[in-house]
Amino acid sequence: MTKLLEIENLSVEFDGFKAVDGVNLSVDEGKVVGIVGESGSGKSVTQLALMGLIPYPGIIKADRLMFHNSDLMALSAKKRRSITGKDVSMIFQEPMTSLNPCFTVEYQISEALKIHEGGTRQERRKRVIELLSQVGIPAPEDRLGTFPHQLSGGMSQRVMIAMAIACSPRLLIADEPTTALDVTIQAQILELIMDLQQKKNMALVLITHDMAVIAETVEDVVVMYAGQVVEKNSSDRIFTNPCHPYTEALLNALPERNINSKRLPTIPGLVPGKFDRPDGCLFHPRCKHAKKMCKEVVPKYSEKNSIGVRCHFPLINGVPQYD
Amino acid sequence: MTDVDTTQYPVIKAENLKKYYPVSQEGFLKKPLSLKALDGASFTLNKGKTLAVVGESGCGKSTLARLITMIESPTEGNLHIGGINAVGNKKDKKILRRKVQIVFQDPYGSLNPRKKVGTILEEPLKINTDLNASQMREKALHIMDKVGLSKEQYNRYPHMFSGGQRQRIAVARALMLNPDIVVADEPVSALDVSVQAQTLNLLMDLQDEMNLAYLFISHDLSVVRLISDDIMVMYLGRPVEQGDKNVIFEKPLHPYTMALLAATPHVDVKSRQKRIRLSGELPSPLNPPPGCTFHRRCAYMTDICKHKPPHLREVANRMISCHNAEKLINNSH
Ligand SMILES: Nc1ncnc2c1ncn2[C@@H]1O[C@H](COP(=O)(O)OP(=O)(O)OP(=O)(O)O)[C@@H](O)[C@H]1O
Ligand SMILES: Nc1ncnc2c1ncn2[C@@H]1O[C@H](COP(=O)(O)OP(=O)(O)OP(=O)(O)O)[C@@H](O)[C@H]1O
Ligand code: SF4
Ligand SMILES: [Mg+2]
Ligand SMILES: [Mg+2]
Repeated sequence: MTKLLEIENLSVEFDGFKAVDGVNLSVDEGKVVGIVGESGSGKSVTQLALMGLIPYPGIIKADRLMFHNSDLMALSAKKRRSITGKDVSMIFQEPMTSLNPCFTVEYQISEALKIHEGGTRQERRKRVIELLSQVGIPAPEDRLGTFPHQLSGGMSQRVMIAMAIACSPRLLIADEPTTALDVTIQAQILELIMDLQQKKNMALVLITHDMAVIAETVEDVVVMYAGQVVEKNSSDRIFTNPCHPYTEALLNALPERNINSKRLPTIPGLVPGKFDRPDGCLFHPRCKHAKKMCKEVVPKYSEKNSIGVRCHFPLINGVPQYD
Repeated sequence: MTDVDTTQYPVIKAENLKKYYPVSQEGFLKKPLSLKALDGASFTLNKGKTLAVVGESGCGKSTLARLITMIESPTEGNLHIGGINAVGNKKDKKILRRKVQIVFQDPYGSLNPRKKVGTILEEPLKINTDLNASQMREKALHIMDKVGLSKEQYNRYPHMFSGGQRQRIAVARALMLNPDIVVADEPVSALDVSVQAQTLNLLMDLQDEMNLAYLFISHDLSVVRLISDDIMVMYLGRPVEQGDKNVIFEKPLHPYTMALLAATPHVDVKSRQKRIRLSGELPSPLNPPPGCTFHRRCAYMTDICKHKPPHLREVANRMISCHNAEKLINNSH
């Protein structure tokens, strides 16, 4: 299998704050990888770094940043955008801020098409209508002249999706693509994306807080906490047998698993910020399995039997392995 | 000023609320179309209770939220807040507005990044009350304590907070004027599962403590199941099924509600249902289908559905708008 994307030891710093801290991520052609984790754990910033979209004063460092045999670190910003721009599409987390409020829906999608496919105005209009109906916008002909503020939250999100799939990318990065959508349309959109993935052998990185979507859609799951990857596991295993205490705690908070209780279990404490990054394991102040060693020694990320975990005492069937 | 007595009336009584928007068409000489974003919603909400509003994207949930919070006025229909008419009532507008507050989905965009938390919280007091600076500060600190923020955070800026904490600030801001009703439009969908749990626990605690009524909009049915007392399922601008949460979750009767429950993804394989595929095109609110607006996608459609619009009526302990509701009681999907 060909590696499409390879990220090794990626870090992104803003003013001394490590938003991303030593992240490894690789995605094979045609594969589907899910990323979950704490709000602010660096999921979006990791992907923005790949796209070359980290704003000032962000500093990117990496041992390797490869996209399909091109070393992105070695290229000029312009060259790099020409590669990522053509083969990688990103659905941004906030559709409201990524759509331009001054232009109509047709204009925005049409511009994306113009860059990649060209064609006459009529051809592009036809394609825009087709794309809008694929993402489930009813009566798309009537919506061409609409401005973003006239759309509901979920509709703007679908317009974004239409733009992202317009030019058949090899890698699609979807950052919370369905949060604003109801479940029936969500199912339809995920099906559309998975269909593209299979027919065109497109690779997909799916970032979401929706664990159920992850469980039903992806093969491999990466869990992030405070800028680091803390677990990488198959989606079959992670939901029944999480290895990292953070993953375990996260899954315990699911409403689905607490249907008859009055209150939901939560994780005590807060994610560390710029000034209170603890020694040892970053999760230790909040971890119910922590021992002395966790406070003092930074756990290394290690991979065994295709399960990766950053913890001194990974869980097996919910039991930490203290030895 | 009329005194708003919220103990005797439902805090919200909405009758046949409608909101139409004009939408211009491509090409000149075409007259603007009227988009029926909300086309007749009725419900009551009592003190201390939660009504969850669910439904397809674009079915009018946020529009309803804008009417209830009086950000926009309805094209038609009646709205009473705490027993007082809230449509075209200039005299009581100020006091009514204080009774209903809103929490938005986006904890990042909805707080002004250039203002300190204290300033953000005191703003509604400045506009709506005669309190002096130290009284305002006291009030802000009191509410911050209630939502689990510490005193030191009074002077911080929003970017110094995590998503969950920002959502706490947004909740705190909504509580500054002692509202009876909080409208929450997707308040937890941008949050990770553990922060979501904190926020939901907070909302439930505050409800118990302050007897708040919530109008809770969400796409996440497992969240709705946890937090609501009643549910209103909407489709294309209209409620199609509404009633007690348990009644509806245990036995949904409207074919759209069934599809919605069946399409809900689950983490645990045993909870997954066979998906009901909605065939047919999504209808447009610009040109809604005749008869039952769901008929072209409905698996239980009969002839009458094509031309006669169903009305909301009571069947099996809930309100439902479907011609075939009785027949579906014995259907075991
Ligand atoms: N331009 C920026 N300047 C300073 N800090 C930033 C900037 N962009 C992101 N950050 C910080 O980097 C961290 C990681 O942010 P990121 O957006 O990747 O989180 P995330 O995992 O995507 O969270 P969410 O689930 O809430 O979307 C956060 O603490 C955020 O505040
Ligand atoms: N200012 C406006 N002008 C024209 N049409 C509008 C306006 N605001 C909303 N609409 C339309 O009204 C309908 C209902 O929108 P609304 O935002 O209430 O949906 P929603 O149920 O909140 O959807 P979502 O779940 O996607 O947020 C949509 O078709 C939308 O395009
Ligand atoms: S290393 Fe220790 S503190 Fe960190 S998650 Fe594992 S057990 Fe908990
Ligand atoms: Mg993000
Ligand atoms: Mg909405």
